[in-house]
Amino acid sequence: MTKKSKKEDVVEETTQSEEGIIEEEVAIPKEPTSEEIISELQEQIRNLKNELLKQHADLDNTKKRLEKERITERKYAALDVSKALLTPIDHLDLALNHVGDNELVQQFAQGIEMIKKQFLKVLEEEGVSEIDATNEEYDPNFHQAIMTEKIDGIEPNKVTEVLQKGYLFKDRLIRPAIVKISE
Amino acid sequence: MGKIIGIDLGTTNSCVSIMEGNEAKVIANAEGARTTPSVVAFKDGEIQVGEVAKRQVITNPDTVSSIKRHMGTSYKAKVNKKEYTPQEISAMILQNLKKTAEDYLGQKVTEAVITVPAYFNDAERQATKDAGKIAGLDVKRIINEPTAAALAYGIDKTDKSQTILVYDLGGGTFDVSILELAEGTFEVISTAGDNRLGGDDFDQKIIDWLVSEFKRETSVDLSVDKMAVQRLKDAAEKAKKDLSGITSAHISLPFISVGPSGPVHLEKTLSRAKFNELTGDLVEKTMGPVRRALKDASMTKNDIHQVLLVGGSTRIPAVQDAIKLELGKEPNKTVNPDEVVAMGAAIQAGVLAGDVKDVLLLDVTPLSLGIETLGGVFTKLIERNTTIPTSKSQVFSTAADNQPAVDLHVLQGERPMANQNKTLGRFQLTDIPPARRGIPQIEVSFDIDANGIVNVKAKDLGTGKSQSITIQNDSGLSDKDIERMVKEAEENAEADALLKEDADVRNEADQLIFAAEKAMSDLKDQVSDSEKEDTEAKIKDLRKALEGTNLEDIKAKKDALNEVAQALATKAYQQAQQAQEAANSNNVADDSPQDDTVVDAEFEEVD
Repeated sequence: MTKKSKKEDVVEETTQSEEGIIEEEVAIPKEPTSEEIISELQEQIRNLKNELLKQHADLDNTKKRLEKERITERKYAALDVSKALLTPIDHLDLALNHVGDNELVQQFAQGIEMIKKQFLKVLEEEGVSEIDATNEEYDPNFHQAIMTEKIDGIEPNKVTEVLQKGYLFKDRLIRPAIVKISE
Repeated sequence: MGKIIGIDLGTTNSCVSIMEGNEAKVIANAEGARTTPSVVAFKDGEIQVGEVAKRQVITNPDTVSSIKRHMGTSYKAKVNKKEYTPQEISAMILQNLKKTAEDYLGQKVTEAVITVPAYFNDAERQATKDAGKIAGLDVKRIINEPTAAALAYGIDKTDKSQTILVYDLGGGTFDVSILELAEGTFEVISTAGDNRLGGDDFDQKIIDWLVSEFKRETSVDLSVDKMAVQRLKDAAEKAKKDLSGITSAHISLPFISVGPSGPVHLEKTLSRAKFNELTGDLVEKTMGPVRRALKDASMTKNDIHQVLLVGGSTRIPAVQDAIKLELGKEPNKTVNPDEVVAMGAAIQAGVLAGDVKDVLLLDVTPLSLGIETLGGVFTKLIERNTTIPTSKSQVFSTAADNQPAVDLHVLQGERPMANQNKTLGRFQLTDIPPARRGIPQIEVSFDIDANGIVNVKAKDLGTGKSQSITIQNDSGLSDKDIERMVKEAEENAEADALLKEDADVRNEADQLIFAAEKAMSDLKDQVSDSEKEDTEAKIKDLRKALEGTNLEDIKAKKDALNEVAQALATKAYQQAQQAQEAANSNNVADDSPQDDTVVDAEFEEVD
């Protein structure tokens, strides 16, 4: 290590002597006056000050942005897991739609329905809400239409059937309701 | 002055990015997505862009997608009872991206760098620039998508001239470009592609397979049921993504439809091998343009120095394998392929704004720094990739009673044992007043300045005496050495962990012997002869085990000693408490039993 620092010293010395030579050469035609040196140094200080302030400002702004981002991220932290849970809930919905007339099965389904509601309750507490769609005006912000049908007596652009429920997470869309709309 | 934003205006998806500090950062839109579909819809006089517009593609005739295909032509989109030029439609997308950036930055944005495909002609480039103008953006520069990708990959940060092949498989288009980098500028040598090939085709292959398999098994045709198709589409996309990480994907769609005998369920496992078989023709189809681009550039695969991947579909393992096979090179995939182009645009924007050039280039420590502690363990004080200048200190203590000096062995590296890392220097802190082990407090501080010069200081907090060493940043390690050291650490992680465990167990055993002996001498005659004998025997056993190499044996002996030591410790504690109570009642200040909260690790014994 000592060897290296010595080497460093040598390098510094040579640069200094080189600078000295250059200065001498330049010095003959015109030596900068004290004022010139001062003003140049002042200019340098100004620039450095500006640069420093810019850095501080940048850091400050970045801090604020990160804070904002952190708050947003925390707000939507449960969105992904909520979204993943919606698929099995959809499937429960589908299953419950296929319950026939058998009384025993219907009773069984009632129990399953209760379990599904428990699921939804948990999600609701996290900020999940179901999108109202049936009979609503078709709104692409919340509904995705994959079919249209003409029905007498129903004005166009109304949701006539919800094929898959849509959900919101707080104010963000998790996924739109998939619907059939009137033409 | 506002920031200049970087925009990847894509055929299917667009993305916006800005420079933050020294890094390009992709900005998420209001819905939290990092890319926005390049789709515009008109609904009740309102202009909608992104996901909401994409949702209307099937039902709303006033929806425009893939407008990029028409840039620079006289095509007019007839929507909303009006005619719109491709520039106008693109401007609506740009406006949306601009707003995303403004919401994030909290300030107005007026300038942008926008990317275009390398094959875009002057008219197409001009149209893109005009779109920016309509959106209220002064387009500072139009740059080629592959060039942006190369910037984001940091390819320009070398003085070597290089030839790069950029393989860009997006949602709906496929482009290959060959670039040459010389003296900091990129030149496009050749381009080829297929503008109707992309990730969606891979999804479709899975859907087709599911439909035909299901039909064969249940004779129910899912392709006529729109809701079923919708569910298949979502499941296919998810399976495709899963298969980039795992080798088989489970597709489970209960109650997918109703057959003659009631509800039917779809349950399939798609292996990566099967997926590769299904999509093999698509992958092969991308190789044609790769060969064509090479041929047009009058090059062979040996002329290509680097292959860069762009577009989400390049995550597909079979795509990467095919590229490797065709070009004989491992493709570079270190940057998120969906965002790489926008990031490159932001970097170009940063250069234009002077942000990139003027920003003080902060260095990082390429390897971790630390000292050797008891048992030859490397204790890191400064982790690798820490931005410098920085400093850190930690308090250590001695490993033996009346230890007069500590040896400081300063090291650099990533492996857990000292002898596996590189020695930077050694020094000694002497004249430590006699004390029991663990009592002296030696503060070791590392300080790295902006030039990478490391100063290590050891200070006896008891006496105030200190000793230090300065290490020049020129550690004699080249980038290659550093890379090798990091790699070695990764490769040897398992073996190293065993060595470290060995050292740790030995240290713990040593500590336990010390504690047990101390307890016995503290308690003196309060220890019964049998207890004393038992403890001494167990200490002897453990010492013997420590001489050997059987780690399990050491552990067993250590546990045995621990049991009796616990009993002693409880006794010692009770005694100390009684002494304290007595001291308190007498109201006499007395030395309370020593606790050693500051001891983090211990120095090796000085010979």
